[in-house]
Amino acid sequence: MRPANRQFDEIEQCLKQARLAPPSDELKARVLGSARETWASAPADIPWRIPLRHLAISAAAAVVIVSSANYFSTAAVAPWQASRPVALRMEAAHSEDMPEVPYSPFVRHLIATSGAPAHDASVLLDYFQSVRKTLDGAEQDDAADGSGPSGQESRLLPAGAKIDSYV
Amino acid sequence: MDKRAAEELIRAALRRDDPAACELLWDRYAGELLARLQAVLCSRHDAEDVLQTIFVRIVRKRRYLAAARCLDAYIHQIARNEATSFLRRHRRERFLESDAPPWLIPAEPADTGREAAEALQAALTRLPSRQREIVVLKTYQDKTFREIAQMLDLSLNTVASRYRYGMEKLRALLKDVGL
Repeated sequence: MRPANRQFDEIEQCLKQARLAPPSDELKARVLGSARETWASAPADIPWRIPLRHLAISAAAAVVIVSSANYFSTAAVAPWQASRPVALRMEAAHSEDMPEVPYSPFVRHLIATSGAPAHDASVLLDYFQSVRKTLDGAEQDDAADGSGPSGQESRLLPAGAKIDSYV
Repeated sequence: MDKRAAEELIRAALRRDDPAACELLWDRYAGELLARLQAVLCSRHDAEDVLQTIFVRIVRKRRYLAAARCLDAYIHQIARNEATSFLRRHRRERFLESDAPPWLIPAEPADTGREAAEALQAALTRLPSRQREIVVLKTYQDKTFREIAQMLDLSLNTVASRYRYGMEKLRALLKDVGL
C-alpha cells in the first residue's frame, strides 16, 4: 500500500469517530407529507407541453420585439419623411414589372403594403421643371420691376443649361 | 433490495402516477441526499429544509423523472441546483448562525466522542465545499470514487484529486487539534 493511501486510511479512521445523523422519522413524515400534498395538488408537468410553451413564449416575445422596433423606427423617421420634397416620393413599384422576383405573390404583397418611397428620375425631372418655372416667373417679375439682374439670365442655372443633363 | 431493482420500482410507480413513489424515493435517496446536503451546507437544519424542497421538486417533475435515462443523475442534479440556490439566497444570514445543532454526531455515545465529533466537524467545515462533499460521501456513505463521480457528474480523476487535496488539508487541520 502506498504511504499516501495509508495516511488517508488513518484519517478516514479518525473521521469515523463521528458519523452523520441519519434522517429522522419526524423529517420523513414532514418531507413525505409535503411531497404527497404536492402530488395531490399539482398536476405533473407533461414533457411535450414544455417545448410548446417555450415556443409560444418565444413567438410572443419575437412579435413584441419586432412590433416595438417597427413602431419606434417609424416614429424616428416620421419627421424626416414629412420634410422630404414631394417629388422624391413615388408610388410603389408595380409588381407586374418584377416577374422574376422569387416567391412573387408574397413579395408583391409586401411591396404593395409597404409603400416604401424610392427615387425616380422622371419624377425628379418634373420637380425641377416646376421649380424652374416658378423661378423664371419670379425673375420676369423682377425684370419688369427693374430690380433683377441684367438680361434674361437665371441666377440659379446657367443660360442654355439642359435640366436633362443633371439627371 | 439492490439499487437497480429500487430504481425500477420507482420508475414503475412514477409511470402509474402512484404517490407510493414518494416512499420509494425516500428509502432509496433520503440518506445519501441528506449526507450530501449536510456536507455542502454544513448545517443539519438547512439540509433538512433543502431535502424537503428537493422532494417537492421531484414530485413536480415526476414525468421527467419517469423518462430520465439515469434516475440518480437526475435526482442529484436537482439536489445540486437546490443547494446552490439555497446558498445564494441565504448567503448573509447563514454566517450569523452560531448555535446551530451539529451535523456530525459521535459514533459512540460518550463525552470524548462528542468532543472528537465537534473537532472533526470544525475541521471538515474548513475544507472547501467541493472537497468536503467528496470526503464526506467517501468516508461516511462508503461510496466509491466511481459512484461519487456519477452522483456529482464529475470525472473520476476530478473526484480522486479533490479527495486527495481534501484529505491532505484535513491531515494538517487534525494535527493542529491533536487528533
